[in-house]
Amino acid sequence: MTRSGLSLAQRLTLAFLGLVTAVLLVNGSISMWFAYQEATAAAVRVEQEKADAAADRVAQFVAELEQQIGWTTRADWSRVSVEQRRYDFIRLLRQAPAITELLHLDGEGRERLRLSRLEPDVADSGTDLSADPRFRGGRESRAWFGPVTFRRGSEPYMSVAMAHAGRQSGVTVAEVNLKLVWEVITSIRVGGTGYAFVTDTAGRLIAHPDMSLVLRDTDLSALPQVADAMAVQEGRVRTARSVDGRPVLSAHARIARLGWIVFVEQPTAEALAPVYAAAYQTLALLGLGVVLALLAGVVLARRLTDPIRALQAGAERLGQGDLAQRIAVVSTDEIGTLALRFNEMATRIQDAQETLEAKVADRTRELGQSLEDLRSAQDRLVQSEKLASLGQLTAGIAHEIKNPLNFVNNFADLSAELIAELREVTAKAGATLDPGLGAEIEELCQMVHDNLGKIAAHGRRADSIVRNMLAHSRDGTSERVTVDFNALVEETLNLAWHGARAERPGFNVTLEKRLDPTAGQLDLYPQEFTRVLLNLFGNAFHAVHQKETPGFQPHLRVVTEARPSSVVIQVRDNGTGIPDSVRHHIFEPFFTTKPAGQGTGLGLSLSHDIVVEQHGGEIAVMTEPGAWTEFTITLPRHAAVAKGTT
Amino acid sequence: MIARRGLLALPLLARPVAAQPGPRSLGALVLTERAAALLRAHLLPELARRGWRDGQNLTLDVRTAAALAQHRAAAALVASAPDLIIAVGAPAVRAAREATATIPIVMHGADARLLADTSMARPGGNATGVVANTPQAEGKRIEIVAELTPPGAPLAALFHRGTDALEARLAAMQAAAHHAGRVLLVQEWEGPAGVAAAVAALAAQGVRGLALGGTPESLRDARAIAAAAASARIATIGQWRSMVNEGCTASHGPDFHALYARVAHFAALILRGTPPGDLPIEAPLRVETVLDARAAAVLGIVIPVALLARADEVME
Repeated sequence: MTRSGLSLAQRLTLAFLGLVTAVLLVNGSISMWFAYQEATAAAVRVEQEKADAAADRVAQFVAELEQQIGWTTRADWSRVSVEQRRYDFIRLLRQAPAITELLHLDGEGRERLRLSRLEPDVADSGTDLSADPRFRGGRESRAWFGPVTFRRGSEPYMSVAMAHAGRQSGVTVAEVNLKLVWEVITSIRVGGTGYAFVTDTAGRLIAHPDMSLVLRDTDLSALPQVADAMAVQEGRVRTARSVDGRPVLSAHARIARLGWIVFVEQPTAEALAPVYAAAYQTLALLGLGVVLALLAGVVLARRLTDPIRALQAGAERLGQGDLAQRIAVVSTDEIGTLALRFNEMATRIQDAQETLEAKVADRTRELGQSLEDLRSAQDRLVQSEKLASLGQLTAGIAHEIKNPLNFVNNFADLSAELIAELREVTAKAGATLDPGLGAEIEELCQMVHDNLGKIAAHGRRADSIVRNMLAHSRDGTSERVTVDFNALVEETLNLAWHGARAERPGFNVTLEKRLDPTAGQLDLYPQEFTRVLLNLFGNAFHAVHQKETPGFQPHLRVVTEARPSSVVIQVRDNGTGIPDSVRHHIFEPFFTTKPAGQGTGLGLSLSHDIVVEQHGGEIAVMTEPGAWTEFTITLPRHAAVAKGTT
Repeated sequence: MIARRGLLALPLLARPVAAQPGPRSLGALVLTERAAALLRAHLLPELARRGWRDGQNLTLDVRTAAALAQHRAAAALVASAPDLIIAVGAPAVRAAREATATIPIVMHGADARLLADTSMARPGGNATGVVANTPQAEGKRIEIVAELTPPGAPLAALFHRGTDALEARLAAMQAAAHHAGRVLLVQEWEGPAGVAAAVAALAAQGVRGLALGGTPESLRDARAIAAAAASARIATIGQWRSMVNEGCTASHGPDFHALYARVAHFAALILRGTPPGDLPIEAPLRVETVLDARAAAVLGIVIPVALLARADEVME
């Protein structure tokens, strides 16, 4: 579809997705960065607070010790009995489990009382401890905290010396078992798996949840976080590795008066859990955003490309010629407008095509009409030519026949006159003649006279035929005259009947005439119309003659009917009828069903021309093959235009 | 917040759990049946808390033998090649250490002689453990029993026959008796049957208070000794609080269960691969003094106020 192989929808989706993802990524990265910074700072703060809290707890532990030891340093203590002092020491031991041993040194540094949890008590040993740092430290400051020492190289102890009130008074020295700090240290919760530990300023471990580390007299000064703390560097929180090598976030706080450093360490993963949580959250949001962007991209691209695809499909169908196709327009945006324009274009093309087709159809029809006209003109021309040549032929023949016929007629008339003269002569000579002979002559003369009469009659008939032929050949040359229509019909019917009788002796037919007396006068070309009637009657007689059904009664009915503006004549015979195959050709020139030599094939053709073109009338035929045939001619009373006349 | 932790925990959960090659075998050497029962009662729960459960990933083989027979028992135990030996009581500790220098040993009641020439912080070798008793503690018990008895009355130290490192203990006890201005008699007994005779012998010498030596035999026979002593109007002090429950007048010593908790701690570390020599030998975190006021009253003893004040617990 495209060079890149991706559909528009896919490319739009990708573009949208890429854009949103890029925005989300940038946004996510920035917010992640800030969240990281913030969470790291918060974690550092939290660690710092934990370190401070842990240091407070440890300092509190020591402060409580100090307070408890302080009970034995009141001003009146030097005056109380030894038993009372011992009792006070015992109470102190009870109160402060971390104190393993208590010493009372008098003002000169001699040991007056020693109470121990582990060893038998010693009273008034008098051991001189005046040079002991515990004594001197106790005398110098109200509460002196000795360095951490490890008994038998293992158990961490610290001496606390407190001077009694009053001048040159004694000192109470407490040996504190720092293993008990373990209970403080382990009770400090640092997150889920974090822990606290304590070193002195030299990095020696004082307290640690793993007591074995303490008992081993572990030096942690090599640990970077401890070294940093010892060097009093800026920043009390840093990432580091724990004693057992795990990555931790380490924070520390100092207890200045003890010279201790309290560390809290938390596995980095745990300390930075909020950071990771923020990161996860951002990632989750990012993922959600990408998914939403994908969905939105797909939906948007669909909404964008579906109309385009519809447009494309519609355009393709239009291109394939389906002009009725319309694109469903759903949107009102540019694509919708484009689709509308497409539809309008298609409509216009369709309209143009339809107009073109209509014009072509019109032209084709007109051309067909022209061709038809040309053909009919040609036919008429051909027919005219035929008729013209036939007319010439007929005229020639008629002319040639007319002369001998004139002779025949003239001489028949002459002979009749001669016969009359002969009878006169004979009458004159009648007396002279034998009566028998005279009668015989008379009889012969009568016979000749009759024959001559027949010759004259038939001569006239032949003359009439010849005249008709000449009239036909003269085509339209006759003039329109007003004639009695019924008389013309009757005369012509008689002529035809006689003609038929002459042609076929014994021919018989019942003639039925229903002539409308109101038919009256009519303007027509008598000769031509006579020919039409003769033709119709001749055809009718021929038809009834052809019918040879037993018991058949030939019958011909001629009806005239006057109408307001026309006159109708019907000629109906009960002859053979006209077969369907023939009926459509009967008005064509030279079409005939008669045997060769009996018909010219011109009769009905001429009749049609005469009625329709010369008289402006109509000729129609109805027939029932084998039963009847009826020709109907309708003639207008006043032909406005006599077609075919010149 | 929980969800965030859940997210964070995912990579942690994914960490593969180290394959356990079948149950680990734990051997124990004790001197008395009572010690064996106490070991089971106190050690196994602590081991279970640390992930080692008897019958699941741990088998415990406790061998009981008298002090003089400890060597044979130790040899037999070593022959069974346990992953770890727990020795309870100085004779057992010594026997175990002499029987093997490779199998890790957790000592319950480290040998005094071992402590003399061994760094507590870095014991090295194959043994570590807890100190249950010291000569000073023996002396402390004499001091307490001296306070419970009328001034001038003789005191006695009662040890089972065959107790080792007796000299150091007796020296500390003598010093304490001397400091209290008392005469200290030393009496031995052998086996539960010998309790009556030993107490009777002390009673005959006018002894009013006796301290039971810090040995497993004392723990075993405490009830009998306390009963016999009570009937002879002799106050008794033992090492463990349980002895007070069994009739002794007082006890002074570490918390019995706390020691076993530390033993279990060591055992768990060693079973996970920590070399025992890296683990410092520990002294008890706390030492407690318990008094039985009723038992004292029966004996006609008025407990001094100072002693009452010192006691961590007084049973009324």
